[in-house]
Amino acid sequence: MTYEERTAEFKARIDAGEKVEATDWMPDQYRQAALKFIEMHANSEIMGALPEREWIPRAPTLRRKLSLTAKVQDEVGHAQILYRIAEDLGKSRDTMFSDLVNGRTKFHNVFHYPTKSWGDIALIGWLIDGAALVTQHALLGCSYAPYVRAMRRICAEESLHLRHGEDITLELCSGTDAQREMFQDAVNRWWRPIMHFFGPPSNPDKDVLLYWGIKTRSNEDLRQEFFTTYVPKLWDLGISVPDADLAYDPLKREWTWGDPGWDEFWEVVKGNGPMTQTRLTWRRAMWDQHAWLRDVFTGIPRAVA
Amino acid sequence: MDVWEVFSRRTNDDPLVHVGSVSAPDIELALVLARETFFRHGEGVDCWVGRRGDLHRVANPETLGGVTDKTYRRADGYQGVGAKLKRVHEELAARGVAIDKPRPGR
Amino acid sequence: MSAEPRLALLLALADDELVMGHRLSEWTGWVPYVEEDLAMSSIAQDEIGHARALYEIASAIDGRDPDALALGRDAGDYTHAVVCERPNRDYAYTAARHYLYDTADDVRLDALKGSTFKELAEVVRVLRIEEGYHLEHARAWFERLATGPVDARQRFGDALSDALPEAMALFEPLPGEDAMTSDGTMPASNEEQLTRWLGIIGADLERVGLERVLETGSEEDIGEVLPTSSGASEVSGERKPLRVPGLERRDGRWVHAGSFSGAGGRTGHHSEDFDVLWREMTDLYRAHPGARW
Repeated sequence: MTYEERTAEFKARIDAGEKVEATDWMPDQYRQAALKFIEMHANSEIMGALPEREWIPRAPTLRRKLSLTAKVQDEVGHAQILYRIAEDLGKSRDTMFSDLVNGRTKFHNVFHYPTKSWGDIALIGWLIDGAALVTQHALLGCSYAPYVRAMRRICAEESLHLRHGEDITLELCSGTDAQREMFQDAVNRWWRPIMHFFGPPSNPDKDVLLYWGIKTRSNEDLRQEFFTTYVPKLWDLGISVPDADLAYDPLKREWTWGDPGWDEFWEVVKGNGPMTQTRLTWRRAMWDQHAWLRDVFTGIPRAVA
Repeated sequence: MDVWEVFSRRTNDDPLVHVGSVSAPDIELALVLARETFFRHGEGVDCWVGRRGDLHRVANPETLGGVTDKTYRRADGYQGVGAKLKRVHEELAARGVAIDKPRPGR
Repeated sequence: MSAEPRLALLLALADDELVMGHRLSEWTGWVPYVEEDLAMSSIAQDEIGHARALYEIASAIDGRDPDALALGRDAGDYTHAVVCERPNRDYAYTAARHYLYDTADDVRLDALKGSTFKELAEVVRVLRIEEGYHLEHARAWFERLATGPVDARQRFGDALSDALPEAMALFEPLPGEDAMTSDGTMPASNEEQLTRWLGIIGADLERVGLERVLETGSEEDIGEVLPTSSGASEVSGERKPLRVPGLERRDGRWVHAGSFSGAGGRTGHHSEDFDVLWREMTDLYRAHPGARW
């Protein structure tokens, strides 16, 4: 069979719902698309640890100190799983880290923003992880089997994070005025980045990831699910959403929402988010300072005694 | 650095299943690290670790279980037996062949 | 006996675990080896959990709840050893302190498992199980760094030298200790525990050829070789102290002799590093008295 024939047969198998393993033959385009997607997901998990880890030292009770540490640990655990899978597709872990900290590869927009209060921790645990869970559930139908297995574990852990986030949110919203304000203020600041998280309205026909079955649902679909799941809950807590145009249309059975503006989104994608360079610089410094540690494991030949 | 595959037993009655892999320079560190990578949420009661290079995948896994009809040795080959039981009982009762003697109650 | 010395013992142990756990938790998310990040984070959570268990017992004597004890006291009321409050710096210092702290903790918990203070002895028996894994982890890194490539070995040795004097003060005597050794609350005194610990780390360091950590502050570093205008070369290197304060070699064994460097933790005397740590750790709790989180 020619390469083209093999590729066509591969595509037919995927369209029929068959799964691909790490050791199977793959067309180059599939391998590259899967690798890039998984690498960006891994990058997002490891960068996602940074906004929240700032509050581990500042948590207001022992139990929250423990649960926040465990939550951030889980994000690192997700990065471990995903970098391992990506490595098996053909790019070394060291190269992936180096590309990330040197700004050559990307990570999701929401992790480019600062955390300003404990209210942000509640929001990230509940709404950001909620948004992530919506997109991650959709990935359970992915054609690449190792990624599906990873997503099962990741989704289970994210569900736990959601409960942790909701727990913190409920305490804030039913607490003192200062605590309620803390949470409302966080929602006001984070709403637009959350809208950006689902991406701009895209053309499904031009989506390479949809073509290869790596993604299975469109951006708009996922955003609608997010609204349906979380907006009523926010309203039940008396928390307003800073979008005057957000409304549910019972006849069309869909949410309408205001255009958040996409300039900031494209700036963030280019690496100019509010915290992008600060965070990458920290990671780069930590990476550079520990070359000696990597050398412990690269099997430098020992002189024979 | 090497890749080490990690296996877990969920409860004492379960078989070992593969749960993922870790990168580590040697087996000792692989075991230490596997604990917190895959078991920190209490996912299992036992943990085994082996070097990836020592594990091998069978060729043509899609042919596992054979390709010609093997229903004679699988549950899906015996799906009609329950209905057959019912039919045979009715036939023999109708022919008066069944033996009617005291027996333990249902 | 009065509850005071027992409370002091509980708070010293709990504060050590809390502050040590706090520092280790600061690595979560950016250890430059991702599987190790997970392991270190679990250790940090264990330590904070141990602190919580000890504060629970203390709460029964003191009256304040565990969060109030952990996050509500003034900085001068914390009685952890100063070594715990030092920033993490890099992984060499962290691994060095982790080894020194966990070997010390193992000695002290082993001493306390037979305590006449029943509630403490029970908790100690449980803590020892997790601490066993911490020690296994610390020793795994000790071996790999001490016998690793020359750069790693140098950095690790230097870090052990930096951390050792303050680590010895983990065994600084507690207020009211005499009463506690008399009645069996403390089956072994701090001095006895320190002797035992020095024997253990002395043997480990000798086995990997890092006796210099015990003998001197550090080996004379080659330092930087700088060209000068005359064409000659100048070597600039920092000279470290020749003796570790309070440490002597007698009859082939390392023993503690009198003073402690970096002591005072057990009586609430801490460094500037703790000012920063304490504010970060307690500001939010103290800013909203009585609030639920």
